[in-house]
Amino acid sequence: MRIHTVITAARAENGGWQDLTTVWLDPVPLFRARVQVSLRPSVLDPAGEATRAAAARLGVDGISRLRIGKAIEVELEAVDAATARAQLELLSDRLLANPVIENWQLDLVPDTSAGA
Amino acid sequence: MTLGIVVFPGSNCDRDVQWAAEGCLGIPTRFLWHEERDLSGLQAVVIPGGFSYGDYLRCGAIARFAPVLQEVAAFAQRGGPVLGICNGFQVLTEMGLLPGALTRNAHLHFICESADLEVTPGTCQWLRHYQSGEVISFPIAHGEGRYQVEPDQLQELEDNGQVVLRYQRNPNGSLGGVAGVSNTNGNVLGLMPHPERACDPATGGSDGRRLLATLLG
Repeated sequence: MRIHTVITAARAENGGWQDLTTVWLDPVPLFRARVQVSLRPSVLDPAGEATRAAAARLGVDGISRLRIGKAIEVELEAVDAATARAQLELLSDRLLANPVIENWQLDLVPDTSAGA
Repeated sequence: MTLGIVVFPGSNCDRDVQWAAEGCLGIPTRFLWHEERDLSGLQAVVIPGGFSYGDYLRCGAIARFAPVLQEVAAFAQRGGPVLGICNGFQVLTEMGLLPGALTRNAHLHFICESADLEVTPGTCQWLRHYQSGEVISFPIAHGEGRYQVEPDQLQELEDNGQVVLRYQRNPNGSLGGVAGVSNTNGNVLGLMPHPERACDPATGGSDGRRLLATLLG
């Protein structure tokens, strides 16, 4: 929640200056996002293979594919969804994932309690 | 001639590099704390091994944003010699100064042993004291040293002569057996093996001496 104050002046009808002071509460929406980072399909995932082998020893058979990635949960204040998305895309592409070896997927959810 | 040695929280080979350079070869060194920005008076920079910032997120991912590395990147762009060893190699790829990425070893083991490497120096100034095709031995010690790059880019690196160090027996599943790569200008070298641990016959041979000795002219 941010409070903005804008003070302006306008020429009044009698020729003098009239103060126009505007104060309003401008809730900055909170966005929740989940960034899923996974190894690119061409990249070997030895940890996933080891886990798959352990699953078989547990007695869980039939797993044909098991890949380990990571999920990053982010909460971000931004003026609107487009801004939030741009910031999160920058974050995902330049820090959370290394595009040489990883893909990422962004799920953005505006906080339902924003402004309350 | 003074060699700068970058020190991050979590670096653990910084003093090994200092010992190898100063103790074995008489090259003056200066530690560069990760928040420093002053590289004045330095003729070369080493980013040493270790676990920079705990290697959180990915190896080298956080280190890339360290203030000192912005200066190191500019230094490298000006043609300054930069050497990244082990974690330092991972950092250089995250910075984009070298192509590719280092990922988890194929068999998940942390490997600590000696590795035979074939050298093809090309234009890499750090390796100019080695013969092309020469086989040398450096210790390796890493869990995430599997070099990864798209196949067409690997071919490009081979064509450019940037694959300057290659494992004789691939220990970690690196594509193309890559142990070290250079940039196209030849002033930036990244390698997983540890030349600083091969500067004294008492601690792993002396094949690394010629690498650091390039700083003596």
